[in-house]
Amino acid sequence: MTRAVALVATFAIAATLGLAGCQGRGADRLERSGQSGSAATDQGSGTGASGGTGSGASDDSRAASMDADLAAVDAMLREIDSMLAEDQQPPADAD
Amino acid sequence: MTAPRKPGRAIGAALIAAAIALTVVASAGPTVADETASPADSLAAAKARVTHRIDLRLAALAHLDRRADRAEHLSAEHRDTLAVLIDENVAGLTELRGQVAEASTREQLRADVKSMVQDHRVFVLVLPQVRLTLVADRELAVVERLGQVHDRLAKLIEKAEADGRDTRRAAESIDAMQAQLDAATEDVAGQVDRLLAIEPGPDGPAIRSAVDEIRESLRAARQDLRDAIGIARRIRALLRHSAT
Repeated sequence: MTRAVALVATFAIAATLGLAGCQGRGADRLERSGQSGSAATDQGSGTGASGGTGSGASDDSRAASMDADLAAVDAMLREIDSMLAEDQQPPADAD
Repeated sequence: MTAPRKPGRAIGAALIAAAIALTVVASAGPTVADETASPADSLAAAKARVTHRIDLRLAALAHLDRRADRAEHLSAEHRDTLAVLIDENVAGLTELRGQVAEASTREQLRADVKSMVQDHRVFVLVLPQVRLTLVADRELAVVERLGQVHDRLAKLIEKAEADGRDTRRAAESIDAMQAQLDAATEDVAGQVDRLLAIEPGPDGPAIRSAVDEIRESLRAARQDLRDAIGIARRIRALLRHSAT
């Protein structure tokens, strides 16, 4: 009888510890997955044309972001050129 | 950063445009009738020509007003200053337009023409004040954006150096890029304040010369920025080349 109780108790303890272990690993996994999810989010938002790169951003994404920035400033300079050209047009009337 | 359009100014611009359309039709150049008209008719023809010249100015101001309203990268302070500048000139010229319509002598008309030119200086001063302020603020926005590109390129160079790649030329170029950005900043610094401080008056050549000086400085800044973009592209290519 005593041995039977001890056996049940051992199973109970082992099951409890195992479950806790599973939960811990599961929680770790969830936590890691959450971290990587937020890292991905950071990267996604951080590589925008005007923002800096996120810590998880790859060199490729940094480079792509930079190319986007350079294209944007190119467009801004073209607008400046157009305004300067308009400014040099002869006036409709002299004064 | 684009400010919403003011409905009052939009309606004002529409009214001005309608008035201009009517006047341009009414004063579309001298006709045979003008040349053979009595002295009273000649005054009427002269009034029509002066009104047309005022309307050219109002049309140009309405065009620039829309442009300033839509402009990105225009500081709030400059946006307000330009709005006041345009509004004051539109109000003054609109009042002058009424005076021209009421003029009964050539002397009165001559005084109105003098006021149209010397009290406003729309083409020589006001339009460049608006356009060049837009240019200067946009150039400062480009400097800021290229500054971010510069910082990221510097980090990539550091990383490449840590990886044992040859980064000497890229490092030299990043210094050159910073020098161009500094030069552009210096070229733009204080120019808008100087430009907006110029007042209309009788000395047209002095006004032209003062505006030209500022225009040249902003052109130089534009060239500095163009060079900085070229250098940034060269650094990108050098880093790509050193990675292979």
